[in-house]
Amino acid sequence: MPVIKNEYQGRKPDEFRILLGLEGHSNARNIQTYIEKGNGYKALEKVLKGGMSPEDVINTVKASGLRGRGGAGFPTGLKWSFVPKGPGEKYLITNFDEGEPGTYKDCYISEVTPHSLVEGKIIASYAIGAQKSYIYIRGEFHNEIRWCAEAIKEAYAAGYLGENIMGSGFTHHMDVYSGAGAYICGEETGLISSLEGKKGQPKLKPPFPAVKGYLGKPTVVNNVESLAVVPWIIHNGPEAYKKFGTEKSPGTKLFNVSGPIARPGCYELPLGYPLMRFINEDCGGLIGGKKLKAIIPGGSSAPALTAKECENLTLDYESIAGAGSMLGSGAIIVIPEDVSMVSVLENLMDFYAHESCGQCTPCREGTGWLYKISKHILKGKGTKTDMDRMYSIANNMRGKTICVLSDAAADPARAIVTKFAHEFEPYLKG
Amino acid sequence: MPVFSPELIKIIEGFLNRYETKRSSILPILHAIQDEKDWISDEDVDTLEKSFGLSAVDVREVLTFYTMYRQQPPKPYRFEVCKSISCWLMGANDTIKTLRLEIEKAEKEGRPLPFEIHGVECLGQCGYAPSTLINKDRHNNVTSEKALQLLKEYSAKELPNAAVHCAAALAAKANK
Amino acid sequence: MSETVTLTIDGKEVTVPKGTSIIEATEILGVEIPRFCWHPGLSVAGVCRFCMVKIEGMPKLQIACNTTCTEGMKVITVSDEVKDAHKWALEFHLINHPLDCPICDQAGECELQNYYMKVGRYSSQMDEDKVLKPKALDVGDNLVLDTERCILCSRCVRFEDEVTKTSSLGIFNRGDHSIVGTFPNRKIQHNYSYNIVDICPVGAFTAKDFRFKCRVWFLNETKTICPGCSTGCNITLYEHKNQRQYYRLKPRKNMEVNGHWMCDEGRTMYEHLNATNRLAVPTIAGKHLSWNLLGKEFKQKLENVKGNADKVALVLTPQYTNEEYENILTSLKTILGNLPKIYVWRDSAEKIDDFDGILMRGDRNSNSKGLSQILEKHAAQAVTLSGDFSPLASSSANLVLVFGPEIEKSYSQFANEVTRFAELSNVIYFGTTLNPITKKFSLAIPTKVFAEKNGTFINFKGIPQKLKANPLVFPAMKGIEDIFAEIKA
Repeated sequence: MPVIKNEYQGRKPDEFRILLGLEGHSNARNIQTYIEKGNGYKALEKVLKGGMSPEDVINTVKASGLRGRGGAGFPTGLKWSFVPKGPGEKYLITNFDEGEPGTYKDCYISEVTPHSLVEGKIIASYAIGAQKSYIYIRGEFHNEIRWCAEAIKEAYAAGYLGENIMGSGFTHHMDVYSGAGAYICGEETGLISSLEGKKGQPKLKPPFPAVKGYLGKPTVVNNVESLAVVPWIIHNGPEAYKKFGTEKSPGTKLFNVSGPIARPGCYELPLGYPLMRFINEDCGGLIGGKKLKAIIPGGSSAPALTAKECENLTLDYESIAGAGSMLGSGAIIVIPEDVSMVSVLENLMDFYAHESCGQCTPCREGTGWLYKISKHILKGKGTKTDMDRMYSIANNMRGKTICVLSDAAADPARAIVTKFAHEFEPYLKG
Repeated sequence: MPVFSPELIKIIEGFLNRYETKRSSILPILHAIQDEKDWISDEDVDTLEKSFGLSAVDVREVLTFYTMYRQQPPKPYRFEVCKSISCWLMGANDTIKTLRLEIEKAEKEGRPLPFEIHGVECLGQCGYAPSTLINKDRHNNVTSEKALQLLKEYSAKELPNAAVHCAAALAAKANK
Repeated sequence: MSETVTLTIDGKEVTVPKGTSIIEATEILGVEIPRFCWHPGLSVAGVCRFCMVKIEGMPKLQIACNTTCTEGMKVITVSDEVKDAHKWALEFHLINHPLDCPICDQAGECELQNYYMKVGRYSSQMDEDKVLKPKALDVGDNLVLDTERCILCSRCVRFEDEVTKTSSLGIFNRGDHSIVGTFPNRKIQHNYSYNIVDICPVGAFTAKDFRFKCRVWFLNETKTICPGCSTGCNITLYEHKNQRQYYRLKPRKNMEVNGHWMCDEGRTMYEHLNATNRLAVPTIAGKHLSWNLLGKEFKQKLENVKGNADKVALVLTPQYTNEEYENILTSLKTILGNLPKIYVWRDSAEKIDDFDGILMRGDRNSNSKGLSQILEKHAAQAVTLSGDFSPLASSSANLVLVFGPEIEKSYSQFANEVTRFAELSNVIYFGTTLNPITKKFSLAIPTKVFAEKNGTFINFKGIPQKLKANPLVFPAMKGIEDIFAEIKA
């Protein structure tokens, strides 16, 4: 059995709320609520008026061990520290292109506490020396676009944005930019291309965005959740944050549960929380008491895990990676026993073929090819050779392209055709 | 009929000055055109080049890359049902099928409904599956039953402005 | 800090300037890494993912085009892992390719075919329906586009953005439905469009001019110089192996002169070479004269004015080789006793200092610089005839020798101006092209075209460049040097 830290024993998820403290509040999005009930803009005050230098902010975030919540889990403070010091145009962009199937946590943040994001962005911009920041948000998120724009407007009115904020000499401007329907814009350089008014095609690395990003200027792209938790960390200190979570995955994280589960939703949990306890107790298990077949633990790009593989896992980067998958965006998709993994595969491959930007050949051609074969098998027209073929196509798409969309299609395909090979047999001819 | 209304021109000019480069305004401008006209024609793109200095090729690349932009005149309501994994697990395909059948049936009975049905990729509401959008309105937990109810609800409404504009423009063009 | 770095590629050491990419370093060593999207004259796109190499110490294979060489780097291009990556990259390129090689003009010089032979040789795994895309699109005055054959390397798009800055091409849609194209109802209309056909590694862009005319394996290649203007682009000329027929020309890389490109105007410089347009045999007072009898007649005309060089007018155009000018001047000096009066006939409308910013110059003559150098060497004073022919008319010459332009269309008033010569008496006209006027001269003598000459043009920068001769279209033809040699003998 996984070890649960003493503090967690017997406690419900809603007792671990750091980021979602305002959840359930009737007027949560309002700046007054945020200030009065959520210690709002106290962290910004501490930074700008309490004499914290940009390095102090970066060091605090580094010390908290906060890892990027978008999927890759790269340490946030370290990412900030790559931006060249000194004067010059720099940009901070929030990646609110939440498009990874299964993920809806950033939408939830903007619904419950958009000012956490705005405050976190101002602090992060101060840390890296950005005069301008954007929230790049999916075009389909009509409500969220409005909520973010309203929060920014309120922050301007309250003097937290604009020229010479709180008399500190720090000037910062913020804007919302809406995408138009492309999963690939969730990749940070694809997002930058899109913000530049282009197709959302990822850029060659090197150069990395911290050196040459938006319009060729140093740019940091951070996930909504990573930024929204920054005010709490600054306000309460890194040690307080590290009380939650595991040594290597400190803090809390938002988890989304979807699929046929009794209580789906967005939960804030300390990292290291036991996966099956979460599914069975907190989320109430599968609808109708169905048996679990598989879990996709980190958004659709994460390789599926069998129910057996899930038994002893905890929700942190290391544990899930150790099982051959990834914590990703924290989107947990449950698949019940009566759903065929052959059709799951076809559904996933359809998604990636539709979303490949078309730039790199192995991804452009490979995603379409995988989709066609999976469709073919699902129709009962496939053979054993088709399965082997899918495996080798997936193998040869991995690690061969500018961004990881190719891997994101290949890895789930490999996992399904190997771990659930027996499910394919009835579909194959001969 | 001028290509863009004076109000739209004002919005376009606002976007052209809002970002660090003119090119960054392409996505917002296309959204704005669509908000007024319901879709974006080659003529619109041509006008963006001739009157506002954006490259027609750049604009067309953007227009054809992103799925939210419509390159053909649409029906007044786009009923978009998420078919990605979480919504699919919760019966999105049934919702889509039900909607398509209903549209087909209404068509046959001579009472065409002002809807197009699309299966779309993840709408970011995976916990409230199946998630849908009707134009810009989000509707979650849209089972087949709820979907049919939404068809009724929206059919009874007055058509959105963009749809009226779009129909008028098409009629004007046909008269030419 | 050192300005160079030393690395090894397949064990071979190479020292390159800092900032050099691995693919550029392999070019220096002569190691070929397969590539589609990389082109030395364009920015790095890094999208075909073909040029994978192993770099010691790096877990994944890297693309050679976007990886900068570093000191001590060890690059491997031939391991099984690398070979496998190349094979798969090729297969990914081919799965949706129509494989219509039998009707594709690119066949024989197609990089998909070439690389299949070099790194492919697998049996295709593709059993699915291919993506269908628009074909045979008219996208310009000179270009036809087949988007199914296209492998989306984006070379053409980058060429339009970076070289001509016309940006008329884009890649539309996404995923495996991406297609390259122009904005609807717009065409690629500029003077460099054929370069797009050259850089297209496959048969997506084909030249209207060459489409369905000849299989490339029937063509011989000759490396020579474009005669279209004073830039002197280095070119490869393609002539049929079995028939005396020219089909096309393409630029040859010379960083000092033309880089990788040439203009469309220059591409037409094969048209006047073929028999149908050529002046084939000499004529005397409008009647054909055999090559055997030409020497006698020509000699007679010159003997008649011997010792009266000042009664002879020599009209030159700046489209002959240095060697030809030298021969003409020294021969006439020997035969006549002195140099005749010399005129240089130039186009009256030319804007000699014009430059299009890429390659084409206002001086549409291949050898203006060579001509003036040779005249200077002979201390000859030449009078320029540019629109005004009165200096020649008033010279009351008894014999006029005109060496007319090979590229007649570079003289905007050619048809009018050549008539002015015909109005004079006793004119010997040297030219290459069949036209109604030639018969009016007392003697009209065909000359070789640039493709049939060995010789030198000096370009506008003063760079001497060598022409290389192909076999004659008319085997009996004699060159200027042969004719003078015969009468001097």
